[in-house]
Amino acid sequence: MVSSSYLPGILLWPLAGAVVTALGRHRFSQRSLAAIGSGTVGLAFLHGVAAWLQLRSLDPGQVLVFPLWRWAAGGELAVTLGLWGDPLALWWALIVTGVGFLIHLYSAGYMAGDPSFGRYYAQLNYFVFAMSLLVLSDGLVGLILGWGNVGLASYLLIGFWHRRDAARRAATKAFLITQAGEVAMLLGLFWAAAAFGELHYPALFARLEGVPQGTLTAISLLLLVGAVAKSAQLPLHTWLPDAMQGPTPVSALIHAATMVTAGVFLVCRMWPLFSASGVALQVVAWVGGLTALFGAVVAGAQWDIKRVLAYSTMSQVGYMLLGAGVGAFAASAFHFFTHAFFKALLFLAAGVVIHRLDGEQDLRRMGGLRRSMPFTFASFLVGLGALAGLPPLAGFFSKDEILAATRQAGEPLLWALGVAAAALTAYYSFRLLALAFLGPEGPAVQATSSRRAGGEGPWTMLLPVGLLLVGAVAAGWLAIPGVTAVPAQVLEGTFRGQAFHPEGDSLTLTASLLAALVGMGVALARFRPSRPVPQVGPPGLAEAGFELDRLFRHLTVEPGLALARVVAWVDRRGVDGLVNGLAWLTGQAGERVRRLHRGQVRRSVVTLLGGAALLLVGSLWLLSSF
Amino acid sequence: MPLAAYLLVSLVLFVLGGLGLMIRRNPLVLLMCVELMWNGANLAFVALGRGLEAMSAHVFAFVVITVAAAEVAIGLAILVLVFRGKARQDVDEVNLLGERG
Amino acid sequence: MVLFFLLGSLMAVAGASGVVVARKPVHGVIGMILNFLGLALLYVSLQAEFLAVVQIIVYAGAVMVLFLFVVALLTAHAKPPAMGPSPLRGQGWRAGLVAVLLLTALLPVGVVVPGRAEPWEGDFGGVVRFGQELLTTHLLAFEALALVLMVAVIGVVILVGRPPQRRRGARGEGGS
Repeated sequence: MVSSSYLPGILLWPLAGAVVTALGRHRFSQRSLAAIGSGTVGLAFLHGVAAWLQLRSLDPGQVLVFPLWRWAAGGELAVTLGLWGDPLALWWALIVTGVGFLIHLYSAGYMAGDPSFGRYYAQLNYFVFAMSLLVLSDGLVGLILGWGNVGLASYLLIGFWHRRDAARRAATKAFLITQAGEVAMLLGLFWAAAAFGELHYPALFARLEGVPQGTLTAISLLLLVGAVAKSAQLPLHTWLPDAMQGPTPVSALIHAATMVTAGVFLVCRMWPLFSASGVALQVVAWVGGLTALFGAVVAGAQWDIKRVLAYSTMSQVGYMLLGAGVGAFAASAFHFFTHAFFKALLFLAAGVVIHRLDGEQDLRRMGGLRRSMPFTFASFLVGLGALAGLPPLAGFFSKDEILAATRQAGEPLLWALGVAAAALTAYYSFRLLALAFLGPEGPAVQATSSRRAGGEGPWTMLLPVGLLLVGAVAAGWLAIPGVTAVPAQVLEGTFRGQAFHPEGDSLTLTASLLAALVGMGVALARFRPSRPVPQVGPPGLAEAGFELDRLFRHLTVEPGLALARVVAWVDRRGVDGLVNGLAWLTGQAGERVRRLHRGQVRRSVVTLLGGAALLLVGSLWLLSSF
Repeated sequence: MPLAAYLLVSLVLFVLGGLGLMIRRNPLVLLMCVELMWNGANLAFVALGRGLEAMSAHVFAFVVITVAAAEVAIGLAILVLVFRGKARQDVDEVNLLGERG
Repeated sequence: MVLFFLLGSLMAVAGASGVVVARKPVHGVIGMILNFLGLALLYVSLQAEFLAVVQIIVYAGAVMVLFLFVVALLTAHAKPPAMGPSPLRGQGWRAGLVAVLLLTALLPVGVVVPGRAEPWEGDFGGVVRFGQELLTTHLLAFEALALVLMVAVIGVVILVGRPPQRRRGARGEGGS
């Protein structure tokens, strides 16, 4: 427990940036707004690096802390807020601020000329602040505070182009679904407070003994509902594809690299609780495995480039939960690490494509971009290769570690699910590549090729893409089986030898590589350059996400609307009627009383004396009755 | 004489004063009617004080007389203010405390 | 005693009736004086000699002179009371109703009071006993009375002593 003054900097710089850009959004130029917005996140990243170095210089097992203040004390429960810099928290915080910085930089080019430029940066900075709060807090209360704040930031940014009807709907949907999860989380929090009497992580984990197994499982599952909603896992995933209505950098940062992994973070953070329950961990693994497969299936049927990536995110986060669910927390955190690089890279590169094509997102209208956008093509190639799990790119190692852990943990069924999902991942990845970049030029490309002959985008967009490209290639080398194991060593301070570290597994290696190659081959064969141009038809079952969206609409939205109509009727007729009636009565009474108050002396005298006489009669009657 | 007779007279004075207060329209007469009511009450005080052999009743009556004198002074001042320069002295035309218009 | 009572009550009630029915305020003032004199007689019959004197000096003397002054001041140029119909309708029967109600409510209280007015004896009601009572038991009331009188005097001076322009402005604000 070493106090560190670097920790608050990670939070406060983005917060300061948010305030400054929000207040100065009409005064500063777009250049300075972008500089402030990106610079503050960069400073936060530097603080994170400094905190990381400080942590490394300490003895193993030590953590950095920064107490904030005592928030509330009632009965036996005292809620204190503070920051907690253990390896896991800093691991997450570094990714959030590091990738966040690159995406802020990218936004300067992508959002150039948008009339709400300042608002965009304020909200993006606010998100970085909230996410840092989420990962760095030292107790469940701070976590929930950050959790709610990232939800709000996500809502604001999905609905950033709020004049679009679809964006507004998507924002509301995302907010409602994640909030529903948050309600469950809050219940879990209350239950934890009642069961443990502590919400501060180390104190809470110290009291796990002696609490009944059922209680532990129930609390874990309630927390898991929140995690599932936030991480877009089955069955609360439907908001994520719609969330692509936000600007592409937002999709990259919030809905791919960082926020949707909050669920994974929660499971890793609360690992002693989940491990103590056992059953909850099992549920986590199954949710993750099923979502990984489901997301991969649906992604292979989408035509919108961003929706492909959205379902792919779902699927990859499913992998992370699968890893955490079999106890390989370090592997899960490692996959989060590599995924942040290659998925942010893919989204940013997709943003370059969309930018270039004037907002066109339909894969059927693209094609042949390889010639005009070689750098973006290379980015996509690397990003999709990493996603598909081709060596030596990042995704290969991290996904392989998770699959190896699943097999060695004795879950052959989940392992099979994971391998199948890996094959499908390779399939949809190369389907995307073939549709967008290979073959003849599509109609959208032809329409815009004449105007944008030179360059693929401004340097602020290409530089982050380049850096992420390097990351997507090299991030996986941190954990080559049998050679390096950096994440496992680094995160040892959090998991204390309890995390499951798989050994090198040649069967898994072979199987996943084979699956990736098969998926890739099928994709390239089906979408070969001489293919017939796919026509826009009615969406198939997979393209529609297996109609889960419509199912939820019928199950929740429609009854809700009906209830709302009933309530509205009751309100208009009943409550309003009552209120209006009361107002009418009061008004009438006042009208009557007004006639008594006309300042006529003699009328007042009559009232006075009459009242006196009546009082007298009354009191005499009372006296005589006793 | 029975005290009830005195009280009867006091009652008659009080009610006459109240009646005058209600039916007359001249402000001066109204003030005088208030005096009548004071005096009715005073008579009741003094009569009952006599029955109870209590000098306090006389003090009460004295207080009433003094307050009445003060009231008359203020009341007349207000009357002079309100009705100076008006041809008709009619309280029904004065409603400064009422709603406007 | 009986004579005093009969004469006093007759004068008091007659004077009061005169006040209520007199058409001219001046006649009302005369009825008022008659009423006060009758009350003084009643006080004498109740062995309240000091109060009787005060009644005559303060009321019949000072207060009524004040009334007369104001009557003279206000009605000097007034036309005979040619009043139009009152804007208050139904005032008459309401007043009557209230008066009857008061009378019937108070009458039972009055008639059940026991006791008689005894003939004069001792120093009850004399100025000595009165002074002792006033300046010992009711000293606070005495002081309060002094305050009331002072406030009244200052109030009258402030009310009437202001320049006419200011007064008219103040009345304009009243919205008459």
